[in-house]
Formats: sequence, structure tokens, C-alpha cells
Amino acid sequence: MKQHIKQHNIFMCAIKTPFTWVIASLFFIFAANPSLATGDDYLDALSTEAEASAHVPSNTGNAGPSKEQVALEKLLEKEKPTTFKYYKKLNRWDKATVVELYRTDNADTPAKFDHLRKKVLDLYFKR
Amino acid sequence: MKYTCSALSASVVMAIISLLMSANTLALEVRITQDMASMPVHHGDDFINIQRIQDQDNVLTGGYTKTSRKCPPFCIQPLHVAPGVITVAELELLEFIDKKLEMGSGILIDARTPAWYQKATIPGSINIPFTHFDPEKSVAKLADVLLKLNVHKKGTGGGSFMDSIRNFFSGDANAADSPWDFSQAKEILLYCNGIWCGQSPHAIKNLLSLGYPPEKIYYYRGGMQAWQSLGLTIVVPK
Repeated sequence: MKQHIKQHNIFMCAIKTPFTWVIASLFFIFAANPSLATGDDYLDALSTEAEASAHVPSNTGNAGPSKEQVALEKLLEKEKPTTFKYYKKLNRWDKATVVELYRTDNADTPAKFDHLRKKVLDLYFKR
Repeated sequence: MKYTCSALSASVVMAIISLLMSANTLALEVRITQDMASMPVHHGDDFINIQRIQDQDNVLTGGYTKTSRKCPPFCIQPLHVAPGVITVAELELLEFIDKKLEMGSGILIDARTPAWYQKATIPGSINIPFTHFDPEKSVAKLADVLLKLNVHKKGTGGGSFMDSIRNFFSGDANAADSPWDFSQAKEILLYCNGIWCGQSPHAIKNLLSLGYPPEKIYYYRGGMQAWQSLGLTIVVPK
């Protein structure tokens, strides 16, 4: 009987040890992944996501032109005056579309100007 | 006779202005509702007309076109953030602007951190980042923030204000023991980036823990993403 109990205890210890390790491991795994990130981790994630998210489209109200719009208009006026004349005649929403293209187009400068010119003329003649 | 002529002239001028504005808004093909083409709102010192983008080929670009941000922390938020807090959508937000914000009884709060707010915000909003409502922040800073919402410190009846704060957060106090007086608190409508954003829910939960009446809190769950998906006017802070 004593032998049986001793064997049982040894057996239970043998089971418990790896089982305990598994349970402990699972605990640490889940503890490291909280269901709701708060505190500094959350703020860091927000900051990173804000930087990664592209700037919003320029559908601003009558609060004045954005910095990108001002930069684009100066560039067009200097480099592409004919395109700039057509651009000036566009309505606010179409101008915002051109500004958005200027902001997001990663083409090199000559190609970018071509894209802008085409967009401006497309918008102008579709009125 | 003189005053009657002046009043008549002023009325005629106002009528002409209204007619011109109506003519302009009637010309909009993409309206907000059948009966509403736009809504004016004060934004700081500016006057902005909220309306929709008229280019029917316009599409969203940028960060709000993403579908799958990592969760956590950017998890889908429940429709109802807390009991008693009213979840609203765009038309209710516009009604809030018209009936409460412009009348001075309501405040529209962009609860996002400055990095987000600086990109653009909804006209009429003020920015109070959700972190500013953290009850563990300094009392002085919290008091400054709550003052914007017309929430004041209660009279302490002999004890110090710090004692009343400690008592409230000891876990034994109830809302009636809150050190803050919410009797004149403004109605507030909070929002953040959208359905996946936890910033305004955080702010709301912190406000509720401070004792803010839930019936005075509105939550625009759709946030900036929904607002922009409808082409509604946004403003870039100066």
C-alpha cells in the first residue's frame, strides 16, 4: 500500500511539474497581451499610427487654403503658368482634388507636373 | 418714421442675404439631407459652413482608407460605450451644433491627442485629449479641464479639497460624494477617429468615473472617418 501511495505521489509529481510549467507559460503569454492597451503603450501606438497615417484630404471648409495648396499654387504659377491659369478657374472642391494629387503623387518632378497638368485640364473641361 | 425706415431697410437687406445664401445652397447637388444643404458653425474666430464635397467622383484617401489596424490597441468599439451615454451619428451631431453648441449649452470635443487633432478636426470642436480627463492626473490640471465644461469644485464643508478627492477615490464614496459639482455641467459630445478608436471612449469612461452625468454625454462613434467618408467639411487647426 505504502509502495502504491509512494508511486502515486511520484507519478502525480511527474505530471504536475510539466503541467505546471505549461500553465505558468500560458499565464505569462496571456499576461503579456492585455485585452486593452492603456497607459504609455497606448499613447506610443497612437503616436506611431498618427505618423503613419497620411494627411487627410484637403476638403476643408472656408477656413483658408492649406499649406500644401499654397505651395502648389506658387509652384504652378512659377513653373506652369498656363496650367495655373486653368487651375485658378476651378471651384474649391476641384482645387482640393488637384492639391491631393500633388500631395500623394510620388512621381519624379517632370512626370508629376504632367499628372497635375492633365488633372487640371480634365477638371476644367468637365465643368 | 425714421426708425421704421431703418428697420425696414435692415429687414430688406437680411432678406436679400438669406435669399442669396438659399440660392447658393439650393445649387448644391450633394446635400446633407433633402431639407439641408449646409450648416453654419462658429469655429474659434472663424465662421464655417459645413457642407458636403460636391465632386461626385471624390474618394477617400489617406489613413482613413485602412481597414485593419492592429487590435489591440485599435479594436472595434461597442455601439454603447456606457449606460446612459447617448451614441449619435452625423445628423444628431449637426443638431447638437445647431441647438446646443451655437446656443452655448453644449461643447463639441475632439478627444484625440494633438498629433491627430492637428491633421484636421470637425468644425466647431475644441481639442481636449482624452488623457486630460485621467483622474490620476494632477488635481489642478483636472480642475482646469473641467472648468471648460462648467464643472466646479464643490464646497468642502470644513475638510480640505484633497481630503474629498482621497475620500472619493477610496472606493467607499458614491457619486454624491464626488468633489466636483456637475449641476451646471455642459452637455458634451465627444468623438475621435472612428469605430476602431478608443480615445473618446477612454475620455467618456474617465468622465463618468469623476461623476459626470451620463445623460449629458454624447458619443459620436463614427468619428472622423465616418465624417470624412460623407465628404463633410473639416478644418485644419491653425
